Amino acid sequence: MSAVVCELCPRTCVIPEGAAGDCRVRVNLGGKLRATTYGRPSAIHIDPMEKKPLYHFHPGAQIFSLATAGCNLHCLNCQNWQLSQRGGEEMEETYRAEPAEIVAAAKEEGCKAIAYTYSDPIVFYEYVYDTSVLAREQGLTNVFVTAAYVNREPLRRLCRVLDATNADLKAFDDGFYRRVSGATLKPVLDALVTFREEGVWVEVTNLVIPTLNDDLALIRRMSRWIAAELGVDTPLHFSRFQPQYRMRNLPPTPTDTLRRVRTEALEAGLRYVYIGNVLGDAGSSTYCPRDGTLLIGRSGFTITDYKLTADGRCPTCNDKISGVWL
Amino acid sequence: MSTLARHWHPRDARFLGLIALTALLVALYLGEELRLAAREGSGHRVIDLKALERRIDSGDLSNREADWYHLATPQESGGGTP
Repeated sequence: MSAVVCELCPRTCVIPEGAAGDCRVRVNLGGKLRATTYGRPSAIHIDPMEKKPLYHFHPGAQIFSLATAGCNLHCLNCQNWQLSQRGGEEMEETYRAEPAEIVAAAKEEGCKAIAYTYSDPIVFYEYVYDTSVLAREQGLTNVFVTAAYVNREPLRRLCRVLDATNADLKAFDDGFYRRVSGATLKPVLDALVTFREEGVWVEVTNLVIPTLNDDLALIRRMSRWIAAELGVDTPLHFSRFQPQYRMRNLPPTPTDTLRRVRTEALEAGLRYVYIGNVLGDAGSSTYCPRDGTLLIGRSGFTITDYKLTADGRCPTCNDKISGVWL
Repeated sequence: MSTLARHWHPRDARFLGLIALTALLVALYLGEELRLAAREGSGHRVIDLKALERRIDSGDLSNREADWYHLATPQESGGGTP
């Protein structure tokens, strides 16, 4: 009986024959580790870029989005748990879509980008990598939406074919990671720094959960860390929590809380801080950090106003706005 | 004790038997759960292997070899791997 050790994420699961890693989809069959969901997504959609959320990367573009079953985190508040907390053999439906077919379908639908998203794409790493290589060859960009619980070397290799990421920073608190997500904080911070070092465009999302991670001192520490390690131009999205899955005992995040944490992050030095999952809030639009000019107005996932110049500058003060623009 | 013996009735034995049977079933259930938990304690999950193999054979799932793994050393597999 040959056990194998998976080196992909910090869990480094020791997997005996016939068992799966903690992610449920990387399985030891006959002493070899198998990526059982390679080319077998269970979710395929076309989304607006703003849904990832990416606000400084090709705003308004449509993005071909896919996911397979499985995840290496087990968040009590997971919004995609029907997908993420199941193995491939537990899914009612999987599609057969090899990397070349995904790229062809994205082009046919008029999408210029592909997102690996919904569950954590780390667990279908090989599928992401092969698809990204082909996508890049054909002029498409690759977006990785992740909780960033991944080892450094696999991530470095993947970064060569990625263009942008929205990475969850669930809380600047190791205890929160252990209690709520079954993970740890440090590997996530390391991964965020790796994305930046490798030249991938990074935006960060923090889901604000009442009483668990909405303490202003925690928000301040997280914002200062982002400013110091990733840069003050890194967009930070504060997202509204909705009770679901195994965390139905807490209320949705009050809008006032989201506005307070946004103010705190701006005061900590970050220049682009957003409120998400609150329809029509002014905090979901982009403003010039120098003179306050409204640059990109948003309502939900819709762009209501676009005033950036063609080369990504503020039309009032001509300041360069960080991002990958159209 | 003598009071108990005086009031003993066959139906009491049946009742005690029912209690003992229930306790045995609870113990077996907990033992099985503990056994599975111990197997999963080293960062892996027990899966429905037959269902997985069926889905791979039918093409619903893939048999593609993964990157980023190595065979466990005896130390890594807790001394259980030859």
